Amino acid sequence: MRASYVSQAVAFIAAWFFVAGCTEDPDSQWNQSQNSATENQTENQDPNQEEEPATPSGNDIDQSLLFLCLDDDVGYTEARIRRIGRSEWTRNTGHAAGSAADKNPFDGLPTHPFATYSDGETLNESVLDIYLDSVKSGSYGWATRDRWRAGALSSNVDEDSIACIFDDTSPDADCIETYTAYLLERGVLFRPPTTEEHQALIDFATNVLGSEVPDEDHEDGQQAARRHSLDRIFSAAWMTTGALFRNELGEGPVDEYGRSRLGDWELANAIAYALDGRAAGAPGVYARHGLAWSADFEGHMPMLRQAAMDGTISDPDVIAAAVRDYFGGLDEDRVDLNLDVRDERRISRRGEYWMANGLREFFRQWLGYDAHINIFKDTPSATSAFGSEVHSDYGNLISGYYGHESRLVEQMDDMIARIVAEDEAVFENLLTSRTFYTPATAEFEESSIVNSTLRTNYIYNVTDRTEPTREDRWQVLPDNERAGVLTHPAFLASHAGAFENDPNIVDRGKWVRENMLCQDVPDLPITVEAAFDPETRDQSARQRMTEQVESRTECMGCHGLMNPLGYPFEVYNHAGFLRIEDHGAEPDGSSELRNMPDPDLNGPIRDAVEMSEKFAESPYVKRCFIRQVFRYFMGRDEVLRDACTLAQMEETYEESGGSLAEVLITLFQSDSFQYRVVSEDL
Amino acid sequence: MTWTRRAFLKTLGIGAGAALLTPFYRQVLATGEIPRRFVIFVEGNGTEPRNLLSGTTAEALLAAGTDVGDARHLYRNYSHDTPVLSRESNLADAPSLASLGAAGGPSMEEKSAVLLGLSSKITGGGHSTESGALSSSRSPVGSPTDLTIDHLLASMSGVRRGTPIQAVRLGVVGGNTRLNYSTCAFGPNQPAPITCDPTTAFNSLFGSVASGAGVASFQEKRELLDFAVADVQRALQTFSGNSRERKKLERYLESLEDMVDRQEIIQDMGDHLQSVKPAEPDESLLYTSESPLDRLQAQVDMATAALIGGLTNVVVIALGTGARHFSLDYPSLIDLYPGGDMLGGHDARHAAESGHESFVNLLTTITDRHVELMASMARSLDATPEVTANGTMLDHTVMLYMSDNGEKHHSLAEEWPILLMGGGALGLKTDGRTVVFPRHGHDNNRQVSNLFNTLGHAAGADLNAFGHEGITRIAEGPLSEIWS
Repeated sequence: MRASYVSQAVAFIAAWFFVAGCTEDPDSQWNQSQNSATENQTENQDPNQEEEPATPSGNDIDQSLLFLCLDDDVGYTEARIRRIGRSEWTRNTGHAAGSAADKNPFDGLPTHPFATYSDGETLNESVLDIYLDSVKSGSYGWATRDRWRAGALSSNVDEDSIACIFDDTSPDADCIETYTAYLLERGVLFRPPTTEEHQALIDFATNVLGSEVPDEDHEDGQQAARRHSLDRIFSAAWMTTGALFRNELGEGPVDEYGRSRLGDWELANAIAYALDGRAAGAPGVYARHGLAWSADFEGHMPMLRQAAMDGTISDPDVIAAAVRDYFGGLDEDRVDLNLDVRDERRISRRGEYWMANGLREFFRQWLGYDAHINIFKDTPSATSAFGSEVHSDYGNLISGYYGHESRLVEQMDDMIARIVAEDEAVFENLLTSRTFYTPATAEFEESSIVNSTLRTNYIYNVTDRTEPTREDRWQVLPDNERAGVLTHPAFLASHAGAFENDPNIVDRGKWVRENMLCQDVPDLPITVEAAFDPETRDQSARQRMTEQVESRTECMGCHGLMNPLGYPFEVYNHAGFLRIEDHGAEPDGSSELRNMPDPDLNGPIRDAVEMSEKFAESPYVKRCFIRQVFRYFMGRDEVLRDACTLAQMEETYEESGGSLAEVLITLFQSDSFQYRVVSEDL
Repeated sequence: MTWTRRAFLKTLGIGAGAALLTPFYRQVLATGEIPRRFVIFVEGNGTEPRNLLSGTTAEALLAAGTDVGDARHLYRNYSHDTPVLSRESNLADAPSLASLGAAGGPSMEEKSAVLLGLSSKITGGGHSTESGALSSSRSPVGSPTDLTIDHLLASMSGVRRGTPIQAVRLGVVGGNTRLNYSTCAFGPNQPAPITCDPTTAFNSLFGSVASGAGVASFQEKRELLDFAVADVQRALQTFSGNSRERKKLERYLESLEDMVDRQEIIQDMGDHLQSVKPAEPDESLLYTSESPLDRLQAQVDMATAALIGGLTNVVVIALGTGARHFSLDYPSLIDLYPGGDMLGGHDARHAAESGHESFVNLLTTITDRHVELMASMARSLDATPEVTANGTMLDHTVMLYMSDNGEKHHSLAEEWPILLMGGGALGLKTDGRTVVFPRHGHDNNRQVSNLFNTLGHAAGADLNAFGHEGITRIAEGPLSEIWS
């Protein structure tokens, strides 16, 4: 889940625990929570927005039905327009994560599980207020044309047809027409503009350029005035609905089911945004003073852009080829980081495997492993083999302030990228891989920043010096310590509170129930008031939970869904360190799984390592993973009419030996992805 | 000439009756509640507690069992168990508070208060806690955990009272950054920009009544909005999606039209704003000065005019805030640098923390200059009578000075020195007192979130739940020592 979503969840868990009284009957809680959810939704909802339809979707649906493809199942998605997302805007304008342009206000609604969801996403007054201040921050590549400056766009500096707009004192009508068409197609709409869109911008640009007044007192007065004019033209173009909302309305003829297929540009961009979080042909950017770029003149994912232009995007083989090419792989130079990471030293310290932005965002948002940067950790080393000597290192793992090694969240990115790039048995490897990307430490032994860098690998229980090579950073951890993403410190710290004996059992268990098993846990009943007794601060979380919560049967309606899945993580503390003791006792991750949706999961387990291994073998859990993939890349919850698509994705996974790329190809070629229906009775 | 609000209205010829007022003023005067304004000065990278400690407070502390001695980071010495209240604290004799005294104009000591000992460990300390300082949360760079207190206050109708701009956020930073997103937030992951270029700020606030580039900028914004309105209207005419999707575009159109209305309100206030507007960018060297203190003065002058002019009721002034922005050079204070050699902002602050006397004095002087600007704003507000309530604008304006990380360069966030001014009519006991709370870790320690809770009460609302100190929270609610 996205960071904000996870933060909310953490807050929710905390709230849960600081209120007492539970209820025994999950069903009654369920009804109550639904009412509560509706009330909250109404309160936060745009008053102009109609009530959401009650079609069962997502975790509401029995998973077995979702993979039952019936003959009369017809897949489609409601016709929609999708407001651009924050990082999409940043990338489309050729800017880096963390830049001023990246401060645009297009974060998704916090109620959405994934940033790709589009329902209810628009621009209200607050969003517009910020956007008006920030829109110009994206204009750099369109207002200047110096190839040796970082931030110049590779699609512009070599395009002779637009040189006149930068060079001519008074650009003529042809020049303005050419520049505005190029700006709209290559830098704003990422499709050919309509006649009306183009003419409106021509008129605006003509007016702006016609009223341009160079400052004659300054040597570069003409140049500055032109930059200002181009800023204004860029801003106007990026205020249009075509720029801010991407159509997925369908353009083809309506078939017997009332569906129409996405237009070529709609489809190409739908795939491009899903896969890489940017438009087809989004401009490449020069980095490091023109010595590197993120993409060449043709921009990012040129295959998809070309396929939209020549109409071959309807060819399944073209889609497959594009996905395989842009999905991920091995790249020693990590060109994919050139846009976002300007310091070459940081790039060379990252892993050699890359995955497309969409893949990375999917894993970050699903697993929520970047949430830890917002969670205060008191005594990160508590109950581990280490003491306060690792606290500065831990802080540096989060912030990356000292040195150039990767941060914890990036280390998990790199671990996942390797699994994705290898693209075999992806789901199983995600849950069982012992190969972790860890920070190097050896080069800091004589450094002035030694206190924040020398022990950064201790979080993985690696205490030997790690040489600054990729080979040495890849560490195979002991079988009994960690297995896959659910045991990665970034994940563990993201799903835990401030203290090692906080109710992290609930946080982690709830996450597993909802995101690995695709089942909901009822919301916190408003009448409940429960709290760990503050006088028990010296007890382990397990003791506090068993004595204060599990001794009360009325609590177990909900806690029974969460606690058994949370206990296995108690072998790790709140910061992700492996425990060596737990308030005077041995660390205990044991649990008994009962009434699991996959009966094969029932039974005792030793810890999170064993639980991960059992999950990896479960067809049920694998289906839940496929559902999560569907949600992110489709930008909505799954519904029953998607059954054939989901079943086909599962079949593809099995037949391809666990290739995520092939699963995505299946999704992008599916009716759910490619067909739209305009319906008022939603 | 000193302009008062009443004088403005008189100039406008509207003193006799509301019928002649612009729509904006009719709206304001129709509001029954008293005006409530909030101004927050945030100093980046630490405010040293010693700089706000008066001699009489040190004596009061000694009597209570705390000997601060020569300590600069006082919390380490606190050993008192209950808050120490020093009523006759002669604030102006504190190292950085001289400008509160009569030498700078009418004394502001009796309309001020100092708080020492407040903690906010949740924020994490370090060079900067980013928006954590104003939200009492852990908020790393670029990732606000929640909204900040300024936005919460600005969102309240009883605070905004029809003013066209919800909040004005201005500041200075090291480097050429025009917008600083470090310190304020509209919500989770929604940083709120602080305008760091005084010229941009002027054009935004007073462009409608400016000459030259300012009015051009205002006009350009209007043209941009008009272009967008026409585009959305055109798109709606041919839109083929269902009503739910259509509403997305309609909502965007409404927002654009709302913005156009705001521009028109500001335009309507033309004569009024003309009267209060500060010197224009081409009339003053402050706007483009190399000295951040000069640019800061331009920003404070502008914010003062925005308050008196009725453009807004919430202001944030950010003084080099954020981990990426605190490293400022101070050429106007070059004489304080050893040998007259400028040292980078970060290094100078680092040296101060290490105890280098010259740089300790430099930090004291920087805070002193900041407070001087705050005091000048306070005096302007105090010289301006309220139109819709008794007293002066200062009486209805809570002014807060704090840092964005606590007590020092590499802060532990264990002490957040606070200066308060004004707000007497809103219930604040800004009567010259100093309150020193027991140190962090003590049950009677109080936190920055309690101060924000106090601001909530001054705004006429119960914001006691605000402040995500999480499990580290000691007690919620206002600070009774400064709230009546």
